Amino acid sequence: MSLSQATVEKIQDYARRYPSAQSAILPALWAVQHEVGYVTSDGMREVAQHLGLPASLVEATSSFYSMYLTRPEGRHDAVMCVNVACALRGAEELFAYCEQRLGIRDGQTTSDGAITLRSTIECLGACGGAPMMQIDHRFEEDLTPERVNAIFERLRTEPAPSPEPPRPAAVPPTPTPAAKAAPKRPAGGSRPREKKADT
Amino acid sequence: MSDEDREVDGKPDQPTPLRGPDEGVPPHPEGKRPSVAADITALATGLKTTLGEFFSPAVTLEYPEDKSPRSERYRGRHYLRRYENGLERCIGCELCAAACPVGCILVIAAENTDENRVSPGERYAKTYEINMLRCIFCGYCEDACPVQAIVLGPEYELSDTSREKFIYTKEKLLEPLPPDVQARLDSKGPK
Amino acid sequence: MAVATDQVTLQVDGVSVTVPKGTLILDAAKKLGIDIPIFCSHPKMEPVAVCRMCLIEVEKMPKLQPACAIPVAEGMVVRTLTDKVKQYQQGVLEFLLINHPLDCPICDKGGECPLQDQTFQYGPGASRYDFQKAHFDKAVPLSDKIVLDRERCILCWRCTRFTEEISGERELALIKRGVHTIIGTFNDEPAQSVYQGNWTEICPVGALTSRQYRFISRPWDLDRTPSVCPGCAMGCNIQIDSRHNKIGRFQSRENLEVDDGWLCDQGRYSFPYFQRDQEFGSPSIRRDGQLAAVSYPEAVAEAAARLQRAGSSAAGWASPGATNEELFLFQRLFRETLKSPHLDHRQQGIHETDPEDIGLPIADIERCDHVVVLGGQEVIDAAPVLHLRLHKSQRHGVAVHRVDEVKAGLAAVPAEATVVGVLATAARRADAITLQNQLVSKVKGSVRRLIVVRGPNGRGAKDLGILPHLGPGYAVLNGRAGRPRAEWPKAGIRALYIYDASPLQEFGATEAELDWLRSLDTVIVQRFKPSVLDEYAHVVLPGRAFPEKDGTMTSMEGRVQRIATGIDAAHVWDDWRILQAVANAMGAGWPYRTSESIFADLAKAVPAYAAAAPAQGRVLWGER
Repeated sequence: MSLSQATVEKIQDYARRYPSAQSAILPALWAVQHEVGYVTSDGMREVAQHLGLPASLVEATSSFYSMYLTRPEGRHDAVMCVNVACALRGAEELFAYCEQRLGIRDGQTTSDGAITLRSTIECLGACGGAPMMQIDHRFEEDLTPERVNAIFERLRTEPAPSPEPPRPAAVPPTPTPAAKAAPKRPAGGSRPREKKADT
Repeated sequence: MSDEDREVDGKPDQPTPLRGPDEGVPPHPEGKRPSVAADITALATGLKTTLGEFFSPAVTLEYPEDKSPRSERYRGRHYLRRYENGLERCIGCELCAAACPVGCILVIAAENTDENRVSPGERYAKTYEINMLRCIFCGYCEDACPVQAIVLGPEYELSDTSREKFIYTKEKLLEPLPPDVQARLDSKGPK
Repeated sequence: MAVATDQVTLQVDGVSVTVPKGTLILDAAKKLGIDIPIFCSHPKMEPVAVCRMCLIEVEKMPKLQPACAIPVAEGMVVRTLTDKVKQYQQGVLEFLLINHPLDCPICDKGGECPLQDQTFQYGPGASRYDFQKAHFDKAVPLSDKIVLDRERCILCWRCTRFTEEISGERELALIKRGVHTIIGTFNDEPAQSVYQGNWTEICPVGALTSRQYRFISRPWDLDRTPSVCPGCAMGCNIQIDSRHNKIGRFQSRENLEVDDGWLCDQGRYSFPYFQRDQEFGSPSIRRDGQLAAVSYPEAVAEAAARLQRAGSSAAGWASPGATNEELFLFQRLFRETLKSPHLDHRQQGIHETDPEDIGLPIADIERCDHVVVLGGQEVIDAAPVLHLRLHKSQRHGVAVHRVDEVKAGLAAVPAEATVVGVLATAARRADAITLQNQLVSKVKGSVRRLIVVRGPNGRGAKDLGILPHLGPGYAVLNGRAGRPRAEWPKAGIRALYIYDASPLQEFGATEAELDWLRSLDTVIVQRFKPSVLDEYAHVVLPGRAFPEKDGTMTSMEGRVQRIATGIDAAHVWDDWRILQAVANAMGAGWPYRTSESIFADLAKAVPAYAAAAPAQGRVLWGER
């Protein structure tokens, strides 16, 4: 068993929240990803065990979504949208610039382990600010080469984002059996432009 | 028998009876023997034809020393082809055997492995046999082949001394094609 | 006009048809003989409508509808042959084939492939897609039994739904999404299911194929013979597909009452045991300590002479894999010719039996409201296809209790249960009867039991009296009962005749028994393949494997089913012929020329079997 007690408790808590255990797969996978850094097959097996589901179903779910990482990646996740609206605003050229700037190709991680660059995601829903990029769970819009430079410089030194999962973060930091009911929202929406489509 | 004879009989539908051995030669229709001069003329006419043919170019060939040219499309004995890298083209799909109207082809397939690679892809023919005694050289096998592995070459002198020798095995079928046939197939740009 | 009834009348292609409410358009059309092409739809699974092949026009519905998922409605007007439908069918096939590798020439499915057939019948003939096809892994081993070609897969979900709905194991899943979707197991681990062979049969393309059958034959070269699976007492119907007189594979031959169209891998992939891949020796006699090859008549004469010397101190063991006809002759040879009552077909342990054991036919499991599986997994291991029937029943609301103890079984069934079934292996027959009796007094409804016997014809062996204490048809042998196998070493037995019909149900001698065999005057071994017993034999009589003979087998539910000769082994004597020759050498004077003629006599001795002759039938003991 590789997951920490805290993560296991979190997963068990998610399982109790939904009428069907299947509904808890996504938050449980988040919990694994935040502990390990990516979704491991051992992690999926454990999720399946705790939720009482077949492991194949957990893998089917995790592989369906692109936000679950399947291998160790950099401290920061930089995903650039190259869908239609962004592409029209020069996203593809900008992505090529990013690749050249970081010296890596699509899907790779910089040698210092700071940034993983990807362009494999569907529209992120911020066409108004195209071209745009999602850095960890935050949107950066109206990008230019200069702004990209600045962002990358900042990420090279910044620590990894908080391991709290964005939506399931509703759980209090130290869950007690009694506190399992009534999930509270965090001081909601205080962070500007928090990525909405995380689940 | 001429038509006049039957009219004389008055029974045109009756077949003329055969002559017996003692009945002799019937009289000439005109009632007299032809002259000697006419005989000589006839002989000369015949000799003229003979001599004329004697000195004109021959239409027959001195087979087996001389052989007539075959059409490009002539369908003789089969060959199994290889790719330039030496791998067999045949993938053991048995479609030739399925297309064969006389059932003279036997294919038993097996799986290629990295250690034993016979053809590109997954499947190859472990056994490939053609019973040449049964083959009617229709060329359907060549038509059916999805990888142009089997072709019918120009050889037609396939006689042999035992029935067993007419079962052409894969070894025999994989003999190199005659160079001119190979060149012709190459010029067609097989895939 | 129809008022609120359970029947619905609709029109398909201008023809009226009346079907029960809830019927799918596809099935209503099928009733009229109208063929709607399908890939994902399967009669035993819930509709998903993912392949879009069955789109048809329904009047007043704006778009085409999937016939496999839309239930009929009163007055519905369905059209399956319009230009629009044809255009869509061509479009769907063109899409399905965009990334399909079209490697039909090397595909094991080629020739029996729904995708191939329907492309010919409904397809566009040519593709407009002239770009690079997407490539996936080919020839991926999903387990040691199954090979998966991900390029050929059209994502119909049949296999994943099988693991979910039919077997309940949920081993296969759709991994990733969109054009990248693939079928796979968790973490690419080898699949464990014992029902994997069924995936290859329901796959409508060549994506899932059997490792054993890989490149063995094209379907049009196969000779197909109806038979019954030799794996266990379930009696699943199979088809022996052979090429060049060699078994290529076993396929399911659907019998809704028995197997529901499924086979387990133990049975399906057991055929190498029955393959005559070499000659298994000629008849032989031991001379000066060595087995010497002789002719059949010589060996038979020797066997008969030796048996006659032993007379009533001869004992006979026949495998529960033999046919009814052979077993009938075997017991006649002993009871009538040798006057010896020492007969058995069992291995270690004494499992009693009686006709009541088959009170619950397999198909009736679905009609129970509570089923107790006494022994849980051990029952499933003894007859794996039973699990699929139980799972199906469970999905339809039958409460299935898998318990180890009689007590737990009794507690699991509530008093208001109306139809209760008890399943157990022969080893726990006594417990099952106890449970049944206790349940009878507890619940208000009926309680029936089904005992999974050992061996594909274990039931037949009991019915026909290959037992020391019961004759054919469970006739009680007043004072003439013999000794069971376990007691033979101490019963003064001088000669032993072992008929080892099936490599799957062998004599299985213990160390002590082998020592005893060595001390015997005479050991006669009639078998298909060389066995360890040859070493102890004085006479070896080679017989045939089950695909090489014809006759009848009785499944655990008492169903008498016919097997036919699929493999020609004319140079080997039929087993019944050997038995008859041995008996006739002792003056029995049996006149049989075919197995049917033996069955006629068998049916006279055991009247319950008469109903089963000559075609397939069911004999249920205790049923009036």
